Amino acid sequence: MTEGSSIDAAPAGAVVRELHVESLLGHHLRGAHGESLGRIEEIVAEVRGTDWVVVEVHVGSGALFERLAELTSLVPLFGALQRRLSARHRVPWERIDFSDPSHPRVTVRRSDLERV
Amino acid sequence: MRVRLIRDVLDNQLLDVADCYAGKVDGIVLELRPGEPTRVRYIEVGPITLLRRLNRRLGDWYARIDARLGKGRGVPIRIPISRVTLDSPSLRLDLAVEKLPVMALERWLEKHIVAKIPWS
Amino acid sequence: MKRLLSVALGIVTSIAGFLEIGSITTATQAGADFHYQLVWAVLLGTICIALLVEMSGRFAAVSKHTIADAMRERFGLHFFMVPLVLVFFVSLLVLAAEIGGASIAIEFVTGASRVVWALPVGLLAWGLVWYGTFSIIENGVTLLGLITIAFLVAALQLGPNWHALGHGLVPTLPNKQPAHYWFIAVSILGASVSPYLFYFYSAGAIEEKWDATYLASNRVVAGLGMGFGGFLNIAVLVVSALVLAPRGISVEKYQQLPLLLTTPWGRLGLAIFAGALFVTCLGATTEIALALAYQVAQGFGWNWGEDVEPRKDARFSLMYTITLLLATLLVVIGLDPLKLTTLSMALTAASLPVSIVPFLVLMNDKSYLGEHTNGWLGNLSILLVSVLASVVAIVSIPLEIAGGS
Repeated sequence: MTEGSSIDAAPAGAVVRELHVESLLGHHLRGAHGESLGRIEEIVAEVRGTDWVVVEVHVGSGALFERLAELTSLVPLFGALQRRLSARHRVPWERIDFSDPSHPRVTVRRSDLERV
Repeated sequence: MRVRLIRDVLDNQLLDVADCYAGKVDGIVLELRPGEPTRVRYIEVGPITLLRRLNRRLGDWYARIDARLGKGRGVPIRIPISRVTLDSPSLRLDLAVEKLPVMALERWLEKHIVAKIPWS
Repeated sequence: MKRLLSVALGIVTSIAGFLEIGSITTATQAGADFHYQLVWAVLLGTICIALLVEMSGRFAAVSKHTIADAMRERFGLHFFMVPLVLVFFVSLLVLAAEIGGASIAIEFVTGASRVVWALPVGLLAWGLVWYGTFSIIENGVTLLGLITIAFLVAALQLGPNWHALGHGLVPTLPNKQPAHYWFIAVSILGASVSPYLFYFYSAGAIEEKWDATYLASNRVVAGLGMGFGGFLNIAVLVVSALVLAPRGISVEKYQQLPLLLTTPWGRLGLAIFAGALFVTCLGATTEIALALAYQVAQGFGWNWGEDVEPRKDARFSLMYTITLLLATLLVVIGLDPLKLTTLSMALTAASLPVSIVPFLVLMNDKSYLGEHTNGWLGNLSILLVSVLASVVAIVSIPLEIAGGS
């Protein structure tokens, strides 16, 4: 078990960075023109042997609206509202620029995003 | 196999080799290396990570106090992801909870308070 | 046969454990001030808690999770902190009211002030939880609460107006003191529908290693146990309507509570009332202290368990120790038990949506419950009751405090 610091130096002077999933949760993901594509609600990894490789991010309307969606799911009358509030879109991880972790950006438009 | 880190890992219960409760996953650390895919590197457990999620300054304050309690203290407790397996909805560690620094408070309370109460 | 005995025991402990200072006080005030008009509130509260307790047991048995554990897992840390903090503080006030209730019970028979008895009561409750097992608390202490059948006996002996009682089952508008009427109504709901009960019940189901084979017995215990417990609660209201209302006695001091049984039974009535109050409040004290410790320990993933030695779950054990100490101090500083009780019950009602809504979402999550999720009718009825109770409480609490009618 190790206790690491935030930045380790890798061979050849390249810098290894760390990101905390819990810090990314809820951040707006900005599109090509600075527009908000939604809030980061899920981060998906693929288990490849002993590696967990991060592959995509899901963006949606945010935790508050997610909770409202869950509330409306309690009574089936609000089915359409629930689907709208809980809609999410998929963004491939490698398309996201984390140079500024507080303001992640992606070079796509909302219309290019695939729905989850 | 695909894993949803927020739904299936973050805030989920950790169990050790003997099925004892080992806390909740309070944080997940991703490692970004140039030219390589981003990987999940560690999970974090313990009050420093937990409190930092609620309020950064509160977490840092706790970390300063924790640092005074001994060598190696005052930093988040990290467990390599290689020691974790999904046992939905919990996660299983391949070690005993007693080996984790997160049990330090439990052990201190047991030794200095609980053990002093008769017939405990 | 063993399962049948277990169900029977569960029903009996549910009946015996139903009454406590909150339900006794609010039902007494309801009967004294409004005769049978608020029987519907007791009935509604009973139905709600029976449904919620059944859900708690079902959730734990099927998902093998407790509610607090699943709340953090499902909603994340930030959302989890909201019900955690709110339920903790409101339940701490209820805990203080219960310790106060047990203390005033001893005051009734000894004459010495409740403030003197608060520490010994707190210590006794702590000792039962620290050294006892879940079975001793759930069965041993709670079974003594069967003494509360005395209220049913008194009600039948005094001879209720069955016609008026029947009318009281249907909600009606008050013809006097509307703010007070609605304040008592929501206090009754808060006394019955206490969030600490779901945390306690779901943890208990895990402590007793329930699985899906317990679902039928869970339904029977919740339905019959809570149902008959509700009858006892109605009996308290009836006795109050027959004894206090005709004499124009409005319960404003806790010293008036024993009149319920001293009026028909004299000194024997005092002994029975004090015994009933002591035992039920002591039982509730141990349950609430455990429920609060369960909520925190399960939410943060600590080792926990009433059947685990305190040395092996030090944080959990010290958690209930601290809550008992804090609650005891609230009584020692002299807070009026009657005011503390009615206020804490009303605050419980006001905060119901915060604890119930996340719980209902969990009860509809197939990843936890598979095919055993709630139906929409159950969801809607509980949701409506909790939201209405909250709205009415928020409006009536300030009016009651201001002394408005």
